[in-house]
Amino acid sequence: MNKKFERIIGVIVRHLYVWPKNLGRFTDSFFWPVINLFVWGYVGLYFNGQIGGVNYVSAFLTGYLLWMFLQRSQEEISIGLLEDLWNRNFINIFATPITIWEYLIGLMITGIFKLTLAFGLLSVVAFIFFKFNIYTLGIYLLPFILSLLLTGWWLGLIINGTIIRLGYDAEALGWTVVFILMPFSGVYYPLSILPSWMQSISSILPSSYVFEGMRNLVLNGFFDLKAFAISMILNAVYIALALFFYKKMFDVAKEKGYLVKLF
Amino acid sequence: MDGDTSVLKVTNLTKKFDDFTAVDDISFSIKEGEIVGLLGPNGAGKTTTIYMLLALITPTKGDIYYFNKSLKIHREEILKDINFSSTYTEFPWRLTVFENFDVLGRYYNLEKRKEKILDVIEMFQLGDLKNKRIGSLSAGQKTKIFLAKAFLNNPRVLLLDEPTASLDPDIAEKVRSIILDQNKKNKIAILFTSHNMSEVEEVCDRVIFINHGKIVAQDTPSGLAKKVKHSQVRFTIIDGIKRGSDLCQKMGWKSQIQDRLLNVSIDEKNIPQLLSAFVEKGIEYSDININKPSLEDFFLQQTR
Repeated sequence: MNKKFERIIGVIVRHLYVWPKNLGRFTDSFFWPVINLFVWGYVGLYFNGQIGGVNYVSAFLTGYLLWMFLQRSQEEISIGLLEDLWNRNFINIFATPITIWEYLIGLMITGIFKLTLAFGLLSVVAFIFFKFNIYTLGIYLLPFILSLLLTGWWLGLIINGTIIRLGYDAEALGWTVVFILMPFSGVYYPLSILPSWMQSISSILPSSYVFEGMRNLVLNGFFDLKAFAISMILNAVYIALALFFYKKMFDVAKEKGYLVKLF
Repeated sequence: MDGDTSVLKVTNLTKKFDDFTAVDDISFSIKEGEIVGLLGPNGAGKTTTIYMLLALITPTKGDIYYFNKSLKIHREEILKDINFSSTYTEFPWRLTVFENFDVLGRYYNLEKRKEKILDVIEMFQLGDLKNKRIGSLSAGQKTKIFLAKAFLNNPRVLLLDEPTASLDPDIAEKVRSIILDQNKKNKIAILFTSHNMSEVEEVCDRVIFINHGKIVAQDTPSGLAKKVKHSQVRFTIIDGIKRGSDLCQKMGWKSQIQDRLLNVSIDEKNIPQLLSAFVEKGIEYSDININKPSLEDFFLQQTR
């Protein structure tokens, strides 16, 4: 087996060993997402009954299920790093040949694996309780998911770099910062209802183009290729900047000795 | 570096954290199969040096070479052949001993990983702990696990930071014998820090003593001990303890009274003079102990 690949597998195995043993992480993956799904499903049913005209269950649940890719992909790489920080395991990891990139890729793949399982479960729950089938979006699901994964990752890279630089003081960023993006992304409402200053911020967020595109597809049956392309271009720019930041923060941590103080 | 037989060579290594110099222009080398003690008081720069040797801290100045290759350039290639043990790290506490070794085995790209893990577990007699979670182990058991982990990748160079701290004396003895055995069998070069001076005397071929980030002495343990000029002579006095103490004061020898014991710190060559002076002054003693300087005395002399 390729050496780099084996080390990446090591990161995945480490997190999959701990996953079923950690009730908190397990409920983060399955229990809370199911609870949220019920909330949005019933809000949608209520709106359908009161307002009608639009299938709110479909709009809300599609929004929620896709949002989960952004939120969880970011949280998986940040909380994965935090787990090694909390376990004082940094020295053991980075005194081996593994590189920061292999470590990062391992966290990303672990995240995709957990997300796939969680998404599978949620799509079944949504179908059973709300007669909502996310897979009717067909092949168009994939570009949406890809773009949101990339957004979660660049955000996670920035957060991880900050945690490596600032240590425990920054740990809460791992599970909070992502929600700043939510109101600007238009997960559950069209961007047109936002004030202009918020729309300006939305226009530089890749996720806003995905959720607008999602609504177009669900409500009008139209896939907006241009919006998707813009989201990918923005993602590419932010990923490049985030990778640079992550590497820089690691170098600073090694320079200043933070990496060993964090353990 | 051609023709150099060192497996580890450090040249002009310096680490500054803002205005504070933790490690100040140190150079040393270790040969294959050699065990070198790195001694010094707390804050001397030992741990910072070890972290630089593991590429966890970037040096401000200087170079580190393993197997004639620069650590800065060949990090991955080098780290697969070195390992470390420190009582100051932890493993993921929810994972079992075997699971932790399995993960690390993958990071080190071990061939026949499972076999190697079981070998190390057997070597350190950890069979009972294999499937226990790290979080359920005692401090002593964890120390043994950290040490066992250091042998997972058949290292050519081993950095041991207080490897026997928190172990019972009998277990520490066993661990020392495993270290010495592996050192002989596989010619592992070992850099060893410890606060247990008798352990360092037993295990190390050579000692590097650092203080305030600088190397202040480098010799064999007995060579360093010999640098301490004063021996300790302890008398159990029957009669004349005050006269003995006055005599020492007059002669300029440091002495201390403890009940019936008189401890005299004296240059080895002056001991005959001390004994005849005691006879002359009619000082009677029932017992005499002469302690030659040890590595501990050297340590104390340097850190006072």
